[in-house]
Amino acid sequence: MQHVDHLLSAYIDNELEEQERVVVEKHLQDCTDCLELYEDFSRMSASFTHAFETISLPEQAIEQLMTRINQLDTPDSPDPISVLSYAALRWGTISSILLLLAVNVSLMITFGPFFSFIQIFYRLAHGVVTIFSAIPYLGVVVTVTCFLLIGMSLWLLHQLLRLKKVEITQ
Amino acid sequence: MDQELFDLITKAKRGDKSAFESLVERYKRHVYYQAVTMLNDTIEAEDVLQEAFIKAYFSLENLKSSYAFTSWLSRIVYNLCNDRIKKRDREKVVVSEWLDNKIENMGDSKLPIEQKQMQIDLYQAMKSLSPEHRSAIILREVHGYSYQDIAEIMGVPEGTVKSRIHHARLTLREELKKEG
Ligand SMILES: [Zn+2]
Repeated sequence: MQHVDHLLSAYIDNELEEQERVVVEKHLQDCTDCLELYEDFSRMSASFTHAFETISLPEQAIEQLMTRINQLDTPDSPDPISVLSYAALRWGTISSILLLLAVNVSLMITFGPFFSFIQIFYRLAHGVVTIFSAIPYLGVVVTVTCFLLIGMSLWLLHQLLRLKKVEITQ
Repeated sequence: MDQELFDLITKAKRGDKSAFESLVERYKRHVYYQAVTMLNDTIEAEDVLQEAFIKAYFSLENLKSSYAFTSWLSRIVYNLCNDRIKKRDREKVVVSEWLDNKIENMGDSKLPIEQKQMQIDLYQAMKSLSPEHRSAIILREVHGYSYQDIAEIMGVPEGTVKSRIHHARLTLREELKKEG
């Protein structure tokens, strides 16, 4: 008779293949040695559950841990702010397109379908050129404006990178 | 895994501190049991308890699936304990045996083979196991992990887990026979 003692531990843990399980169960009906081992393992298994229910927790260490967690920086992860601004960006874009379409349709209705935009752009461009050519030191003004814009962009970028995550309270 | 727990883990993954604190509440027992049984020392286990959660806090975003959280956390605890055991061996550190204290606290009454005596004997017998074997049997019996989970936690093949648990049970049984 082939004993099944080497399989009993896995049998208790429900980790045997169906085929092996059947073999074990059949063998346990006729072999007292293996049955005894099986019963000992089962008893031990049961007492494990109770033995470790009575462990007391280190309350002080847990309190200390909670304080430490509270003082920790939030790890880098998808930022609620950036999630928010992605949403804002998406809806902003969609609404701008809709607004443009609405303006276009109303222009078409007012000025006729084809010449509305061309005429408006022509007049706008003409107006802008007139205004600019009237400004003295045009090159200097444009250069200074550009530097100001670059400076402002850098400052904004710096502010953006410094942003910390905002706790979402629900 | 219940939905509430899944949501907590997902929130904590996104960096929600209060969700993480709720996870600590839920898992403190789990983590402490694993550490104290493996290390057999309360002071070291308290350190590991703290280290494990701090480590989890910073690496949680790397966790692929929220479903894997429990065994992932156990793996962190296991590795931290293992490092300490290696260091202990190297530096020949003597620990105040937690299992000994546990036995003393339960009182050495000589009851018939009954629940209480069985527990005292079990603690006694556990002392004869190596940390590896103790860890394997605790992960199975106390935490209820499958062999596959334990293999992942310990970083060994499933066959090794199977034989470690089998060996641990045989050793415990032998020790218990000596006691009784
Ligand atoms: Zn047999």
